[in-house]
Amino acid sequence: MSEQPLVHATNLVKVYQDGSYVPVRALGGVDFRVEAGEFTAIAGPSGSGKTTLLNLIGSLDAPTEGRIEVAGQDLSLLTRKGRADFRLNNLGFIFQSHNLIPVLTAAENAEFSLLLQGVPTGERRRRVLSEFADLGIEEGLTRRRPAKLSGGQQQRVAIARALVSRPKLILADEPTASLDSKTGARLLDKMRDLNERTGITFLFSTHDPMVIDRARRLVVLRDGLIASDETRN
Amino acid sequence: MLRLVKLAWRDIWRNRRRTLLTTGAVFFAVVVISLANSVQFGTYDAMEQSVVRLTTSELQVQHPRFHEERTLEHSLQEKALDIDELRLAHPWIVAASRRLTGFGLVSSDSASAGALIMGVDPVHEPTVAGLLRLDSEETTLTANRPQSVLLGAVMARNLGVIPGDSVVVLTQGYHNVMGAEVYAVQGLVRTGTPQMDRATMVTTLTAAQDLFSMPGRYTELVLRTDRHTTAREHAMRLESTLATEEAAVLPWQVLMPDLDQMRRLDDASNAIFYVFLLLLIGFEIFNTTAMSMMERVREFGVMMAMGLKPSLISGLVAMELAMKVLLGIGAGIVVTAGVVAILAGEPIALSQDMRELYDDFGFVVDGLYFTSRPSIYALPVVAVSIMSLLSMGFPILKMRSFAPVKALRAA
Repeated sequence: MSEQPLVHATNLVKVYQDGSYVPVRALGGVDFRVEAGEFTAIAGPSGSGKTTLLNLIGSLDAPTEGRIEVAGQDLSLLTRKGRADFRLNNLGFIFQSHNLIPVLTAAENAEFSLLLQGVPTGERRRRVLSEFADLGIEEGLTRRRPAKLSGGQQQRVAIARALVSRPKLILADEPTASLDSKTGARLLDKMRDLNERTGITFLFSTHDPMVIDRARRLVVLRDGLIASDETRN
Repeated sequence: MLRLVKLAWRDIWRNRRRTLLTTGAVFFAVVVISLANSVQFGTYDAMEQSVVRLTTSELQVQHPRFHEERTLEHSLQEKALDIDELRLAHPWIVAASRRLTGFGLVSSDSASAGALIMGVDPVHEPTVAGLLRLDSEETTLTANRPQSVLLGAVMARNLGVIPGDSVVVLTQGYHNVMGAEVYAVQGLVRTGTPQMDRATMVTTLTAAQDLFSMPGRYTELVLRTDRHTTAREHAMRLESTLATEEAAVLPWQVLMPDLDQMRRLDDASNAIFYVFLLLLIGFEIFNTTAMSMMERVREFGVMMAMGLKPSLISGLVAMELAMKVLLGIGAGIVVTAGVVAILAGEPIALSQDMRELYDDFGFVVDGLYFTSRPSIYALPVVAVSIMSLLSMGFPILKMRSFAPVKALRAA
């Protein structure tokens, strides 16, 4: 274990209290570290706190208690704008339902974060095409809008979008849930291959056995607490 | 930035029907209000011009107190103002003529009536006002016949006189000197304004100066200018250059406040209709903005997760709205300009009944006139822009409390 982990969460507590509903304690004091280059799955039954933990690490939400550092940055010290900048420059997201922007083409979707980073057009195009080639996205698909792509193609574009800016950490929330098993397995293999080749850290929230099988570290959450944490070879 | 513009442009065509609805509403507002403005401004301009050029003309130079206190003591000396110099200094003065206006009692054998007695320069008066620019030779005053007068048609009827008869005129002149004279009725004046036709007597300036015992003096220098709509500006400019402080320049709006007020009243009643129309359009704009925002909450959540700042998302929605509104405004102006270009050259003729109705109000209007001046677009463009700016407040406020994690959970 290195001195400076990529993710370092200490005593994370998250309580949801919407309106007059009874408060829900999604995380009950989690201590969690992720080293750079890991390929880790967070598993557990529904309501165990997987997505909540991912959202907190992704600075999409703030903990009720506790402290969280990602890439050496204490997230609680960031403003709203600062969190947006932090996500742009350090994180990539892959969502369960792809969430591509429907009015942009596949290539435009993939280069969106590069555009926000101010990467010049030529460089953007080069990196997107290289990522597409890596993920097996045919050139003929680059100008298609999401509605004209299959679910697997859309998810590959979403992965390309997350990878293209070379983030330090990719957070994937149930990335295979909307895919058939064959497509899901192929994409997972591709992601693991990318992890091995580029050293990009992947953190999955899942209860898909395919993801769990391929993860080199498996963290199981139950009732908002870490029930087990197993590293595999 | 360019990519955001591109994104906004594609976004507005995502729901084509809604975009057409918003753009159509703006288009409708611009066309309706601009056309209404065009006909209102055009017809009012024509009416005002007809009345102004019949009686007061655009500007009058008077003694500073004459307009409030119409006494002959507040008169001007002919030598005090040089008409040629004025016209040279202000090329927009098209024509000028002096008048002497006083009051007197006009009597025939059988009746008497109070009258406004106007002494006019028979040569120059027709160039400044239409009162004496009538076709009949009967109404042409000449300096050769100083003892002749024109009587308002109604007044002549009341007095029981016809052209060729004589009337006796009694006045209290300059410095309260009594004046009395017998004049031959040369012709009748029909101005279209019943009040004037009932109590006006017109004679030459020289005859009036003799009658009121004020040779070399007059009460009004009447100025015709190139445009009646700029009378106030011209009045201020001219007054600042007058050599004497014993003279004031009054625009027609001051000389005939009723005419100006009538237009303002009409403007106010139209404004109520416009406000209702614009409120409807405003609600439509607000509604579609809110809808387009609410149905993309999840998408905005994804964008924020990717690092797009909330302010840029607000900007994106505002840009989309601006595009829709500008499309509507642009199309509205193009269509209105086309319609106005056709109608501006050919006024819509009024029926006889409508003309008589206008006549009753003292207006000589033969049709509905359209104007193409740019100000007809000012109200709808400014009002729709303000509505849009207010509607843009919604996404800006909404984004302030926009949490990406909640947005990503949205259906």
